[in-house]
Amino acid sequence: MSGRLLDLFKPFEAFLPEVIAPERKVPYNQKLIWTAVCLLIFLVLGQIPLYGIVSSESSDPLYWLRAMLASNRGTLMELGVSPIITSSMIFQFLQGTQLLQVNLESKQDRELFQIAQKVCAIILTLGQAIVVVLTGNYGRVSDLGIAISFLLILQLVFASFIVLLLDELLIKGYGLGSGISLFTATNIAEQIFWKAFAPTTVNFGRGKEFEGAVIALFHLLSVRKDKKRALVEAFYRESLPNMFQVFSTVGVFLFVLYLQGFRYELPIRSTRTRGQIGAYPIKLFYTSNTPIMLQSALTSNIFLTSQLLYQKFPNNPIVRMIGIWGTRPGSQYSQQAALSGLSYYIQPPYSFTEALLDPSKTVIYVAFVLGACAMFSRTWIDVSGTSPRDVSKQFKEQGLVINGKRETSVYKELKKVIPIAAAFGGATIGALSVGSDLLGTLGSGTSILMATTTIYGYYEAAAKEGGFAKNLVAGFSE
Amino acid sequence: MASTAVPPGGQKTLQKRKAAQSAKEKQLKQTPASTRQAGFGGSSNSILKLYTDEANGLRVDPLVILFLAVGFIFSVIALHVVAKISGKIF
Repeated sequence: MSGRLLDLFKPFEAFLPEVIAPERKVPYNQKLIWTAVCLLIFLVLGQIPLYGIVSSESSDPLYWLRAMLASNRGTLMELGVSPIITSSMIFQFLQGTQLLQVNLESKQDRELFQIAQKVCAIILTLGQAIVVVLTGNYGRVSDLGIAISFLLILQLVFASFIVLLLDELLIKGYGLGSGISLFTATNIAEQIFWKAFAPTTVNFGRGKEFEGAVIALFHLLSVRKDKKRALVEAFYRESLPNMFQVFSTVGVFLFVLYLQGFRYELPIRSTRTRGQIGAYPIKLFYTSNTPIMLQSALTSNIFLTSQLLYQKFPNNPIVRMIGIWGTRPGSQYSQQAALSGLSYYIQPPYSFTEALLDPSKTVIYVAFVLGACAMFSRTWIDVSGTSPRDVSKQFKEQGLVINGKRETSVYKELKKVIPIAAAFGGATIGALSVGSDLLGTLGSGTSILMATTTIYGYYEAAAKEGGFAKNLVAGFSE
Repeated sequence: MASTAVPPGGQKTLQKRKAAQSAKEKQLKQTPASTRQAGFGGSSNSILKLYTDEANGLRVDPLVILFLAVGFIFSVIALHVVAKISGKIF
């Protein structure tokens, strides 16, 4: 009686706050406004520091996860969207592997499924908040005092709860799409923008230098006498963002946008209504950014575990095999990086020269990322219900057949296309991520890919919604 | 166009009624028939899509959430300000 597992969450139904779904379709402009307001609130939450922090100077153990989870250290968004993502992942895997039997055609079951996800997210939030505070992320608990610790946990839980509600508000139909992906993409875009235009200065002993690449370019060009050397410095400076990185970021962004349009169109026709023909598009990025998200989640978790183990047992041979951590020579921040061991091989190279200096590492890294992405993508289509079998079942339900093919060969045809599209798309995404890491884009390759695919998805949704149709000639609409 | 006015009723009205009826039925039948329609898309933008349905929980207006969020932000800022000011005075 696995279905009864869901019924455990039944009593929570009455207490969980839930956004009222809009009674009629929300107009496009209002959707835009809701989306913008929610985004603004999220961004403000990400900038306000928590009350009661003593210090947050130590090396950030979650550094690798920050970009993915839209979280900022020491702010109200310390947990970011991680509880929501974790809970929805848990439940989707439980459902995909049939451990949790949900009949998605029954309304009751769907409701229970949502409630279970929400309850799980709230419990995870509470757990994570307690762990973050008790492990001394903001100073030792004995220094903070019980009242302040409690207040910190309360702030974290309430902030995450608000994000949960904002996300729900956007998904229910007031916004253009999923809130979580929007928040993540915005966080990444914000970081890229900051790296390009940061007005802050640092002093390495040669006088003040601007952190932002574009600002530094203009500053160097106006202050230095030798314009040629100023240009060279603005393009190649080592330890701070430079103009070359800005250009490679723009290049990767445009290239990903170009690749988004690649699709294979199966001609289909309806058997119920004669004369209805259409095309069923199978995109190159069939699973979108899911493989890269899963891959980076996997590596960040390996890094996190390896770091914690190395701090606890620095002399254990197995722990040393998984990863030896320390600060890299030449980096001015005290950010820990893997120096050798398994973690070193799956950590992206910092620059092109580093990739050339250790070719065996580069080969292993590229093979790992491409293989993992292809495999995750292949597996994901089964889990998410978009495998050839599911799609052919869907075709049958809707009375669709492939034009010029027998009704019985739909599955065979789909099986020829979908798994290959998924695996190849996954490998392409992985290759793009590796490529942008090697080029040294602002921010990691993964985060740029995630931002680009999300923004493109939003653009598609907006175009479908009809926001851009006004530019067409009057009287003509798509 | 015919010069005479079209009398009410007849085929056109029947057609209109039928269209309206079928549109209504279509709206009623809009429960997802597959996982994909229920929001677990493959060729979709994101892996995450939850809470697409209406449950009978504690129902909240979206504006309430906005006020809640803004109130929370202000209370945290107020805590910071109070801590700063009391540090200056005492």
